[in-house]
Amino acid sequence: MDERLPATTREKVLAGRPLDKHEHVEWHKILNERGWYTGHWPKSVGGLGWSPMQRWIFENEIYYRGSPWLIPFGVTFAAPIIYTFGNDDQKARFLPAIKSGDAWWAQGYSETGAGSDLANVSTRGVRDGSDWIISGSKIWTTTAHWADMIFAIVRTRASDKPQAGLSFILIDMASPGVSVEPIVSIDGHHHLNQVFFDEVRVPDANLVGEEGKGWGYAKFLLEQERILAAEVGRCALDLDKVKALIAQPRGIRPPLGEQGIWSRRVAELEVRLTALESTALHMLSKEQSGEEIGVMASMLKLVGSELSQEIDAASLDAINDLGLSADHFGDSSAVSPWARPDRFRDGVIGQYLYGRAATIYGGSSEVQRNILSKTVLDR
Amino acid sequence: MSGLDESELRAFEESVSTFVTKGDAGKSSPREIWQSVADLGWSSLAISEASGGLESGTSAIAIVARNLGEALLETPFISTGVVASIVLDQAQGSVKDPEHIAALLEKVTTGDVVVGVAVEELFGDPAFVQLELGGSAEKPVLDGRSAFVIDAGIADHLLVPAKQADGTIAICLVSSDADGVTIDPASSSIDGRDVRAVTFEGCRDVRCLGAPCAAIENAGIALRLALSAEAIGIMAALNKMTGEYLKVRRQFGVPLARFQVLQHRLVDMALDEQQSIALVERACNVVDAGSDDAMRMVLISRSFTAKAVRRVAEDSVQLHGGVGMTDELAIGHYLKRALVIGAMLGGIDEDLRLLSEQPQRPWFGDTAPLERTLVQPNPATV
Ligand SMILES: Cc1cc2nc3c(=O)[nH]c(=O)nc-3n(C[C@H](O)[C@H](O)[C@H](O)COP(=O)(O)OP(=O)(O)OC[C@H]3O[C@@H](n4cnc5c(N)ncnc54)[C@H](O)[C@@H]3O)c2cc1C
Repeated sequence: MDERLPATTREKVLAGRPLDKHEHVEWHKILNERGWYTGHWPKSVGGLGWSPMQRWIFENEIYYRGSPWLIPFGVTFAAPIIYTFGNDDQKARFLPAIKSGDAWWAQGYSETGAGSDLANVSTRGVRDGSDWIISGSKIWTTTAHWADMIFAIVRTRASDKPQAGLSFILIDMASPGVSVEPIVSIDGHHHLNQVFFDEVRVPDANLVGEEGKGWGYAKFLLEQERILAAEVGRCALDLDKVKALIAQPRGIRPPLGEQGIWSRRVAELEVRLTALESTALHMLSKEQSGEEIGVMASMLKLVGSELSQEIDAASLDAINDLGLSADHFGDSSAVSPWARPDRFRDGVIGQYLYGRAATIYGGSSEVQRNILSKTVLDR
Repeated sequence: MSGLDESELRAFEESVSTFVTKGDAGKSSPREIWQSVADLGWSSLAISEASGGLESGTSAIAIVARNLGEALLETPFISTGVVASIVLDQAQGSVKDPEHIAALLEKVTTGDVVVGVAVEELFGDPAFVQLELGGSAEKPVLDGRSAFVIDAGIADHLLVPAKQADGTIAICLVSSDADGVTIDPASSSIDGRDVRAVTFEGCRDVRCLGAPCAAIENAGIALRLALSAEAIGIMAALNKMTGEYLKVRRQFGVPLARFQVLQHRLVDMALDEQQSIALVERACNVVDAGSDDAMRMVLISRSFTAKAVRRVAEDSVQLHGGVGMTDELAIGHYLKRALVIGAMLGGIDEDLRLLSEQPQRPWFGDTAPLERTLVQPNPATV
């Protein structure tokens, strides 16, 4: 990390500013030189066969040290489905470009009518010879404007149960009929999109696994990702940022950290983060010894996302003192470090604003509690 | 302040509400809205009758602020219509040339003059005032940089405090196009409102309004109440939008409003709004009655409403799901304004700190029953 993470990239991450596509790709490629980008893949498909614990250590370590978010859509979402349920042709066609960092992927699950109720997708695939004709649209598709490929859940068959009849299809974003409309988010940036499919022709060779079994594959994915969803490494970095913010003098004002209320607030966040980390480690060791961890693992995403929002809120409150004209981390040299007109989109405020989404995507907090309530009541 | 009576307030409420919702206020610039406000006579709510104003009390100020908040309208109401109006009005008694100030107030009333105000420094701890006033009493010179001057970008005059050689503070009025005044070209505030950093370099065109006095305290009270009322307006808008959204948005085959956890969330949001309304109404009454409990009630109001509006705005984003995260929907813009309201004047922590320094008062009656026992030192620790 110290030697190879480009300085400008690290600086942007530490300041909470969004990266350009090439900065992500550059970093993915650097990690791939050691095989770390796909360390969690099995050896048989070119990975290092890391155990969940090894991967946990790796991810926490790099995020804590300012690594950009490893965009998961290709390497962590699409690839495991392809190498677990796909055929040899699909593995050969898609995995190398994911591993090398050359292909950018997007996740096409949500639709305007299918958010929390994901099974309600209405994007349709109709068979035409050896092709599928796809029509409909996906929304909230993160970085679809950078994507070469999108994996989508598509309704390929009518059925009584909404979960049945869905298929997992890989679509080339360059196909005729695919268009991408930007959605500007609350932080003033363009991360999200709506992707339209207007009679897009996709070869049957791009349907993964069995037709109509897409829901099961999508579920499989969610289960793989539960422990890492705690994002302890990123929270730890952000908590250190709060500590740095409250330690620095604010112009002629003394540091906030000199106020008991602030040291207490940070200590409380530290207590909660340690509890979250311990819970994740507890589950990892259970998993390591082959025990079934069950749905309780989804508490990690729930607790982690809510805690990360509180850490972001603490950072925000720490730069409050001249109204919210500021948005900068770590620069106390300017006359007024808080007044940086051109930068409001970035940094602390941007991270707080975009971070509001953490309790919405990947199963909202309400939905997670619904799921967990069943387990809790069954005890 | 004399204040309006109940029925006058209700009539006023109605006309303000009509103004923000029915007119084309939403499409106008802050300065154009301010001109319309002035044409309706509401630019002089905070100015005394003796100076030709309406002297209508904080309840009327709160009505305007709440309606502006609900419609998310930007206009120099709190800078010019509240703070500058009160400070200039009361300064007439302490300056050598009251006619000049009277003429300026007249222009404030007609909407021809907007005054940018360095609120953070004016109402914050004097130790942190950044500007310095040098030169002589006859020929003062202003230097330094003030980081948070609201409405400076559209202002004709600026109201800023400055530190003098002897360490005391002087309130200064400076023409915004005077030599030595540089207003940052862009606003730095996350809610997109006009807030500028202003640099003064050897600026000699300075009118000194004297030391901070009761006028500043009164302006601070009115400002805090205006912010609290604006927060109420924002909560009203958000609660309405979120409630309506949950009724029309369907998932799992039913409207989201069917889910009990979401119903409970809406209830909590409504409770925040209701308690804020009650608090601010009471605080305005206490202030307008001239009670010595005014500052305490005002600090309670601002800290409560600022916390409530942030919670309501964050919950509104959450309950809207993905669409709540878009720049296109108003929800996010209300959230940003809510954050700024809570961050101004040193934030909620500062309100609470000041509150803890207010003289203790019995909750009921003239004495507190536990007072004696509470002040008794514990013999074990002496
Ligand atoms: C920043 C961001 C990035 C995203 N990236 C992607 C992406 O790359 N690809 C992709 O496919 N999707 C993506 N999403 C979409 C995300 O998965 C959905 O936003 C999420 O599933 C919620 O759906 P919704 O937005 O339609 O909200 P809704 O489902 O309409 O929910 C609105 C509110 O109702 C609550 N609610 C819903 N159902 C219930 C219930 N049964 N009980 C109680 N409360 C309930 C929710 O918790 C929420 O608070 C992204 C979203 C965001 C915000």
